[in-house]
Amino acid sequence: MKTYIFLSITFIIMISLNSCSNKSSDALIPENNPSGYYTYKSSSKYYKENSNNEPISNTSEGFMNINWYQGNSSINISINPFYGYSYYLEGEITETHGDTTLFRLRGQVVSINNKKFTVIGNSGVEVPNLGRQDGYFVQDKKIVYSFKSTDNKSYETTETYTKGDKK
Amino acid sequence: MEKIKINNSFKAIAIVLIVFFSINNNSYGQDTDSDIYKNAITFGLTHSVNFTTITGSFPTKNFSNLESKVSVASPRTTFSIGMSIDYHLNKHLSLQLDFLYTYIGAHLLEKTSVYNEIGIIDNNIYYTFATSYFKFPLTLNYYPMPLLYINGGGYFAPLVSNSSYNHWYDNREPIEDIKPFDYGFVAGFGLNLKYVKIGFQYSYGISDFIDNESFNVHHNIFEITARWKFYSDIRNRTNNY
Repeated sequence: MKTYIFLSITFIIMISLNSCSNKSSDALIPENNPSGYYTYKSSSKYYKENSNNEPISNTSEGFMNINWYQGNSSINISINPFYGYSYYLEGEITETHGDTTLFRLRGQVVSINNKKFTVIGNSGVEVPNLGRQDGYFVQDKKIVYSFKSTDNKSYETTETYTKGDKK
Repeated sequence: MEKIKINNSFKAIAIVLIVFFSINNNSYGQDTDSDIYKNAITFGLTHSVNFTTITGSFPTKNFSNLESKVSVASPRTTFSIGMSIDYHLNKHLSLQLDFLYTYIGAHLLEKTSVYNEIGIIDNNIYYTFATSYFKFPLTLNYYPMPLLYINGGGYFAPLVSNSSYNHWYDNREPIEDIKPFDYGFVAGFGLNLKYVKIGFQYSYGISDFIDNESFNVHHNIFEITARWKFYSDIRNRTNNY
């Protein structure tokens, strides 16, 4: 009798754990792995808050690597411009809708060449039917994201919008 | 184009020489004091402290999101050493020829601005253009009074060594496309003492010393010179009088 009770409890626990785990991954695990190699084009706007100077605009190109960590739903984007300095950004998946996965960029400090920049997603990407987001990717196709960064010393601000295509 | 410039320089030097000798011939017999000075030779060691810089323009890099510009950060303090010969035409005029070994160049700054997606990142790299030449300045010296001189003329300078190096790293490299010769004009003034001439001299390189269309760079040199009179006919003749 004790054995039946023990087996029943174990069975119940296993089923509940399994269902919990499914619930979380239904929401956050993309259908396909977004990890991989992308080429990108980005456009940036450089300005200083409360300054009368016109913002400077520039474009950039390069390639990026995306790594998705299933355990904590985080993604790391390693960005390598053709001209300039490489850096990487961290984000986390927030929702999946069919083949579209939304993510947000965490507030983070990026160091390049002894300069420090505070980077944060600025909800600058309009996703059809899903509103404004920091970024999204479509399985095995593309990634789009936008962020705002501020030079920690000069307080100059940069807003960048990036589109990448998976290779 | 370069040939025309060289020809013009030679023409100018030839005209100057003709004028000197005409003045010298005219002065014979006019100035009785000129006996001491006529055909007098003075020679000796010469050395100088130089403050050398580069004028003109350096190439700029301009990619989609990268700008790079080179400019002169500061003059280079160097020296010259050699021999100097003065050939007196008369009391007021002499031809002076120096045989110098001279270090020149300048400290440069390459300022790069990268328009990164994160922000604008400036990077400053300091490095030095260091060159050495044999330099042969030929000048006409005018002595308004025995104690003072002003001079002007030209120079010709074959290249001896050249390198470009960073201040912090041991990365000496030859300067690309540097020309084997430099030439230009010199002018100066100073005190003519019994045993030494101490003066200030300015040199400007007419020649663009890098043979690359994206450069337009000229040597620009300020010198404080001392010309020691190891041997002087004028001194000897004065002592004999």
